[in-house]
Amino acid sequence: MEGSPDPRTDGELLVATASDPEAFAVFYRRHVRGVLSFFRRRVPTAEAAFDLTAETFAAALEAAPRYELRPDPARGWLYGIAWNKLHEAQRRGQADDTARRRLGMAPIALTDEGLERIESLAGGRALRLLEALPAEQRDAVRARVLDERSYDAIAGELQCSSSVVRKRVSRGIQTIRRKLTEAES
Amino acid sequence: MNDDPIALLERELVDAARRHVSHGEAEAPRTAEPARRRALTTIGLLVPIGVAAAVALVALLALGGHTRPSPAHPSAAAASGRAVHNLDTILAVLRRPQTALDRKILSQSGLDRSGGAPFLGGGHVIAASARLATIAPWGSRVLLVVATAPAPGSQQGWTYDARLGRRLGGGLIVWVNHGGGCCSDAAAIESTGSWSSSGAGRSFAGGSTATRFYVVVPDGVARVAFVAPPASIQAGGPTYRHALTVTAPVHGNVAVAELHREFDGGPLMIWYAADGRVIKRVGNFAAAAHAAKPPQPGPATALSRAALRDPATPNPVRATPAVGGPHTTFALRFTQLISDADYAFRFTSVPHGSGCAIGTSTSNPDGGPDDVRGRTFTFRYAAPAEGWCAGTYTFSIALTDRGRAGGLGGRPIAPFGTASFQVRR
Repeated sequence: MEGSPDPRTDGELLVATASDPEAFAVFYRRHVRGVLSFFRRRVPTAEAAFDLTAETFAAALEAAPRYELRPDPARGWLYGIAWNKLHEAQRRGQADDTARRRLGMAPIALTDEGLERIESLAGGRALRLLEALPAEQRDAVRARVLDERSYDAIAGELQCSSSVVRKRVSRGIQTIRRKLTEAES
Repeated sequence: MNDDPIALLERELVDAARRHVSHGEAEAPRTAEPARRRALTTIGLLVPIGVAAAVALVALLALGGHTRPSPAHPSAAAASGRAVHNLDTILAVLRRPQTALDRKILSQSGLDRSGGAPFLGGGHVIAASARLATIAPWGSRVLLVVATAPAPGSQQGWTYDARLGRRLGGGLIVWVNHGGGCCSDAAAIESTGSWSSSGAGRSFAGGSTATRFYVVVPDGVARVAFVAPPASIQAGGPTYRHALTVTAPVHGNVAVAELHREFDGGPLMIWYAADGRVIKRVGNFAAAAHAAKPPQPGPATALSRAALRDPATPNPVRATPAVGGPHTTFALRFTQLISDADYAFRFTSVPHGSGCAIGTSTSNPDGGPDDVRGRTFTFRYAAPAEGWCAGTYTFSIALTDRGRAGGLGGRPIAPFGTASFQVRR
């Protein structure tokens, strides 16, 4: 990517991991935020989200030697692992740690500061603020920001004009931003 | 003490990866061959290289009168020489005299300063080899510069090209504005070209979906056709049902092109000579076509024709499992009647009570790669963070776009199906 020192694709990084540990670090840094957010939206606590994120990347690292370059993006492969880990955790009632144990990874104790960092990175606080918005704004922001849908499509669904949707999204984001700023100050 | 769990996890993963690498070194001969086979079936690359010994690059003698350093170890020097030799013999841009502009661009890149290229792991760039190859139509300057091998034992350098199945030493850096990568040797460039990309990405904030490619090709290649096969970018990414080809001329051994697509890997390429002859096809066109072949729609039926006329034509929808727990992921399925259609899912009835609030506009605007007539459309509702409340959830599904058959003009459409699932706690 322009501006980045490492132009390798995700797939190339996974293939390179077999001989270059730093390649997996690059892959991790590219995706940790996304994976963390993915789990944070689906599990009740930041601890659980982090646990699942750690297990997902550990499983990805374990599987990397078997990864072969393919037309499908490696990101999809990673999120496939994430879905499996999520479903496993839902079945078992707790996050699995098999891959981490097999890799000999040490458990990471989470401090309050660490949890703050996870919430910040995963957008957990913003998601909670999103849920607290008035329903109209919440639906509009969710459809626009999380689902990445066009204003016209949202307007069609919400049965209003796209300018109304824009106003709702704008107001909702302003509210979230203001509350985040207030909390930080 | 570092309390950042993200950094701690990265360290744990890298340590684990190192243990894997050191464990896997002994298996190199077994893994090298599959890796080489992969090289034949994949498209261009920026070859990560390196070597375990700090050596001179004997092939750099011809580059601007650069002084030849003495090799630290004869066998290592030979390995390094094999890796980078003939770069100047296959790239005319490196044979032309260096200009003040070349040096200026190198200076602006910072690559020639101490620590300016940390990814070389102790290797360094040969300033005299720097050449401004071309300036892209969008203004990006493409600098080519040769780098020496990393320091002995470096953990930072890209020391191995898994696809070529061998270690390499030194090579060509392709530097575009403020970023780039190292290193390609002559063999890699002749085999697949050396490419870099930038600008890919899709963003709800309005980011570009274009990807810009910069590929270094050997002498004799006059044009490069960049071919993007039909593909599905997973995890919420777009689906491309048709191939896209953009042909670009070569300047200074570099062809640049902008494709309005998102990529995970790179494009397939066809290299043309000045007389139009095909020099090479890079990448496995057959495999790409097979892997990304869009699914074919099933035969039209009376029901599908009715749905085209009236998007609210009833179509059975089912939820599985019908009964689940607070953290069950429920799958909603129906047989698609229209190819490429988009749908809106909406909860019409949810349990009431404290903590049971759930949005009502959840939707999936894209059916994904298999959204053709006759296939089963599956949409999964994962449990909300706090888990489902006990009770019955009813939802409806409406068509929002008929895909190739045309949109609906944004007007609200009555649902074509409803279903429900029950949650027990």
